[in-house]
Amino acid sequence: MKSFRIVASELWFQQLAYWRNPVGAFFTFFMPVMFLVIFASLYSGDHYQGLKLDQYFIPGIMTFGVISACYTNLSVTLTTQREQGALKRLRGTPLPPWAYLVATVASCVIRALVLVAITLGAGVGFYGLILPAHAIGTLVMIVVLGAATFCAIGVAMTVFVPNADAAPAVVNGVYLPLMFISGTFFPLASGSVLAKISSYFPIRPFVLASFNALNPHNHTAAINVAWLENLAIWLVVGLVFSIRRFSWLPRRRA
Amino acid sequence: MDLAVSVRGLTKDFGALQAVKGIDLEVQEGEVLALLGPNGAGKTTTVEILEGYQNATGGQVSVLGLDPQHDRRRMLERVGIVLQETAVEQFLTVREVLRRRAAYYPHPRHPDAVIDLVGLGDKTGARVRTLSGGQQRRLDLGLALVGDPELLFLDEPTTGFDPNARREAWDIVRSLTGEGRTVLLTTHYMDEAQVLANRVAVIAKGLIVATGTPDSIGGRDTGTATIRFALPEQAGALADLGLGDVGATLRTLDGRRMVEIATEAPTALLHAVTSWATAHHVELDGLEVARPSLEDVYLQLTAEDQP
Repeated sequence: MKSFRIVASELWFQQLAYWRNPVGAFFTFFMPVMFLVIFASLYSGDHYQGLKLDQYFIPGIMTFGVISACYTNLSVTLTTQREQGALKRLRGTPLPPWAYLVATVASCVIRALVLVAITLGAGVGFYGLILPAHAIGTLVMIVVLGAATFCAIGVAMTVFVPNADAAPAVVNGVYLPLMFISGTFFPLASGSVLAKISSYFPIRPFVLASFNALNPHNHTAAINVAWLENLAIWLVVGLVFSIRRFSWLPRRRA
Repeated sequence: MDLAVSVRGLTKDFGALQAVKGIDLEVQEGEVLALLGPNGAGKTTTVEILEGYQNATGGQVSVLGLDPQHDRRRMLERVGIVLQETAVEQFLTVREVLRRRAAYYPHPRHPDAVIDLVGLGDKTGARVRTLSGGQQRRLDLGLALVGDPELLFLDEPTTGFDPNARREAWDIVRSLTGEGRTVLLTTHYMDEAQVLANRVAVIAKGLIVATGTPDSIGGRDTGTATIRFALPEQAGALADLGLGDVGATLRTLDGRRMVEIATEAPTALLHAVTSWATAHHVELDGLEVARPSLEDVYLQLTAEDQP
């Protein structure tokens, strides 16, 4: 299994480099935890659907973490590597391009899973989040599907980013507004204009699916299939677009 | 001798612009070939086609007997590429980046052997971000070598180096060629080509305008030479030396009257001049016979290429 070994080796070195870079690790992990603390104190005592509001926004914070670890991280990192010439160098070695991308995506998914564990752990430990045992399997499935989708969109986004300096502006400019109108941090009235618009994009389905999976009133983890379909469609769109348009060479030409 | 690189009638168009206009080039196994040319001459385009980064518009290209496009992966297992810019993972150590790269190749060299070869023995455990520019460049060379390549592409390997770092880099490249590796080097430093290359190809306006050894290219070993010396006080005029009819010119330089004679037959002329001098017991100050430098030849060959 030579391919497996090479992906494992790449994954190992990418993780090593990532954890040694304090700035990157700080922003990925500190921000969601900070948001958790802030929202918990803001919403203290509020209720939603007969539950403490924490039960709603903690899956929202989890969504934010998954998007940071996957979408934001990938599009900024890959654009920077592309413009520095690091990706061009890789294409000058026999490392198969797919192996690099698989390792990079896997690296992000690992980070996302760690973040999910931290967010939910803090939620259960400090904010009375109810984590029904029967929900865990469903939740893992949702997180993996969502992480894959946000990774695919993150790779696709690099096509729209002209240079490394523009990366944070373009990448955040797309997803921050969408995250707010998707009701990530506060519930939207179902049937409202924002709810309708945002349901076409992948963030809202991910938030709702996570909330529903964790909802202790549901005896089984009831998931609306339409949400998963939405995520799957965006996954395919992101993948196809990335395969067609992803560039390994810097945009600027000498 | 087998050919490491063979190029026939290579052309490359970028829209209406033809960057490469029909290049023929051969690199023998074990040879160090320097590709010289001004920016925009088609140098980088040609090399990137050989490396498989770009498609050719026309012509045939073979690298180690393989097609750089269709057999890219198999070719890359046997070549090393050093690009102009270094972009190595900053948070890994020297040994880690070499181990990571070694995993890509079927028959890699031991990372520690490569570290010794490029002279980073005392930096093995240092993170890349703590290395100096010259050290990062040496690491870059090491990364290209860890797959034990038969052919090495070096794209302007010492651009931006200080003189000491350049000399170090040259020593490393020379130690590689001692191992029988083929090197295709692009540079715009004449001294670099002179020191490292067995053969030089000059490219201008998308065409190879001359090839040859660094000492003979452009006829610099057989063409016109210049004999130069200070006109001695004992000789009042050029005619006193018997040099009235050889087209000598007299120029005043730093208060001395310098004689300059351009000649196709420097040996006979030098004999005449030195015979006169020994007969009159005169020492000729500043006597020299100069061939055009590689730079003179290069500038002449690429002159029309200047805007």
